[in-house]
Amino acid sequence: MKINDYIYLASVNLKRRRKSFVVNVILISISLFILICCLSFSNSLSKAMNRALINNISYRSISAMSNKSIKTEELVDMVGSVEHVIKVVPQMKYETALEVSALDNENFSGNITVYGGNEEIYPNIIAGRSFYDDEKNVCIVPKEFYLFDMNKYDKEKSIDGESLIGKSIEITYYSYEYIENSAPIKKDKYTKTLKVIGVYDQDENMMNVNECYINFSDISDIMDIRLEGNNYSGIDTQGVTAIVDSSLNVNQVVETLESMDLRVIVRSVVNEKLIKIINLTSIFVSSVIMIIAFINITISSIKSIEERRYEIGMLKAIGYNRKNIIGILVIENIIIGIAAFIITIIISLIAILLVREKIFSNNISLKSIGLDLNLNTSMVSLIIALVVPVLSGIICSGKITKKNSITLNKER
Amino acid sequence: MEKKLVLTNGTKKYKLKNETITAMDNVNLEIDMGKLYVIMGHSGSGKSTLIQMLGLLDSLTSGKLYINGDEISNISEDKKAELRKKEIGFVFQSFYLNPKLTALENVMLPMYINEKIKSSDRREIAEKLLEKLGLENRKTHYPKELSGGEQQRIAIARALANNPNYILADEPTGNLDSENEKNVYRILKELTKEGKAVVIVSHNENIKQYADEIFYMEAGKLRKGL
Ligand SMILES: Nc1ncnc2c1ncn2[C@@H]1O[C@H](COP(=O)(O)OP(=O)(O)OP(=O)(O)O)[C@@H](O)[C@H]1O
Ligand SMILES: [Mg+2]
Repeated sequence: MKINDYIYLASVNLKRRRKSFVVNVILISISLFILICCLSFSNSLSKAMNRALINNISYRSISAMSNKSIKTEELVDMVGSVEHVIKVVPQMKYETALEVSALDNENFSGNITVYGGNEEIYPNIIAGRSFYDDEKNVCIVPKEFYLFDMNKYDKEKSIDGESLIGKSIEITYYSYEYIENSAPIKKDKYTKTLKVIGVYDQDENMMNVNECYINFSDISDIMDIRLEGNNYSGIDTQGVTAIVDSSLNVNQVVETLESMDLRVIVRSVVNEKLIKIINLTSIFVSSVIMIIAFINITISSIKSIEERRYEIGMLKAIGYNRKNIIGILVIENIIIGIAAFIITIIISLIAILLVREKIFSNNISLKSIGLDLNLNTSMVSLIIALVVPVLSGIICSGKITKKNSITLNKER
Repeated sequence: MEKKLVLTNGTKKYKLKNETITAMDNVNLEIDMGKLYVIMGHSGSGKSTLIQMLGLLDSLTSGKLYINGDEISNISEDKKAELRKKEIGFVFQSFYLNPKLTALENVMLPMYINEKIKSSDRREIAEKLLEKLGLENRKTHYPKELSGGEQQRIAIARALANNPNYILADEPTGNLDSENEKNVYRILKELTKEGKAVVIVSHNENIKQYADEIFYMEAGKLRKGL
């Protein structure tokens, strides 16, 4: 029997049993839809959680200081040579407070703290984008942005960070005249205009509402101007901040640094247990849903073949062998599986897009989950949609075709 | 090798939970080409069991079956299917048609597994068979739109689809009125003139006039009639 005859007979059978064909496709689609939605959601959620925890800058930054008086440059090299450390900056040039003199071209009097970042070191962006490695004069602001106003301290007045994207923040800083044993005197005034390009979630990153990210080189420029001529305050023996590639490697880096006789301070420690629990929960939920979908699809595939006992007996009587009969039924199940898969993918895509755009987009935290129909989920559902009906079809029709046509005819 | 279907010492026992029924007991029978055989007997005497064994629809408990000289009592299921396809056309009392296929499609069904028939020829062969059985106007009808007699003729056309040597019919007219009955008998008799062997199980006395040989089944034993 030729393959196109198999396909022809299978398609005629499906066409003439339109009702049960449609019912089967719908039943399998429902199972697949629930599967895809649950997998996509739990997948995106656990990814977002992992991202928030493992990639969180706060969990990845370490301060290191030397007990001896070595130059900051040397310390940068020392710490930079440690495995898993991806960036080292002098403490001075990692974080600083700045005055804000204008916001969106309007005069303003506030205060922000800036942290250094680059392409690989910035918090998870939930709106807008991150900056490129050598992109200067851009900044990433918290989603709930509050510029501490020196004059009128009004905590209620926070700004929606997202609304600032594309707008500018003007900062002011000074050069100083340093005199031994006395406070430095302001010399020249400098301004810098930062363009807001992205928003991060300050809660997720355990940051404060006025803490922004700008390029390391911008902080460096500012600090170079501020510190020029300062030969008195031991600037050369400052500590450094090191950023580790993953929060899971922080412990290892700390041990190495301590063995190098450095004093180390970890800003915050990630709860590895929590990560494990999140991942295990997600795996557990996915497995349960997968098993349920598996059982559902198996049952409907078996049912669709059980209904055909009479016909199987007839085909045997006129000379069809088991391979012929199983082949026809399996191709029918493949067609049902593919139809259900295509329908499910389309409906799931629409559903996920709708949820993401209409519900999640209104809430910046939900948005950060980045709900998506990922490839793995689709592959899993394709496999379930095809392999399960095919296997249960083969097993079930294999059993039925072992009986003789007389028995099958009488069973009707 | 001479074409014939031979059963020697054929015995069929059905094992139930706490008893064994001997439906066919040491039956010897030889089916030659070009003849119409009739097997008669009371209900439950084992007629269906015998014809099912001849039609390779079930296997013997003991005894031997030969088709065209080859012993086939112990061959594999696939080989049996092959023989059912090539050598045997079986007609059931209940027609055993596919209700979702039209008359023409039902007749074409056995041809899909026959490599000897080109796919482009299937329709024409099926149409000719339906014409031969007077069903040229019923090609696109579904079984439920047809009378019992018409359905049985479709079943006969289907049995002839792969041009088998042996036509076996188990009470083919059991569900038909006397007009249709006569019609079916005449058709089956016609086939013997083409050289085919026809075996009919029936308890209808009217069949006798068409028979070349008559056998009687009694409690599983076969006895040659007049
Ligand atoms: N699958 C089976 N399992 C158990 N017993 C069976 C089976 N098929 C038939 N029998 C028994 O075998 C005996 C012969 O049955 P068979 O169907 O051959 O009779 P029959 O002569 O065709 O009768 P009828 O004229 O009523 O069709 C009966 O006693 C029946 O109960
Ligand atoms: Mg019977």
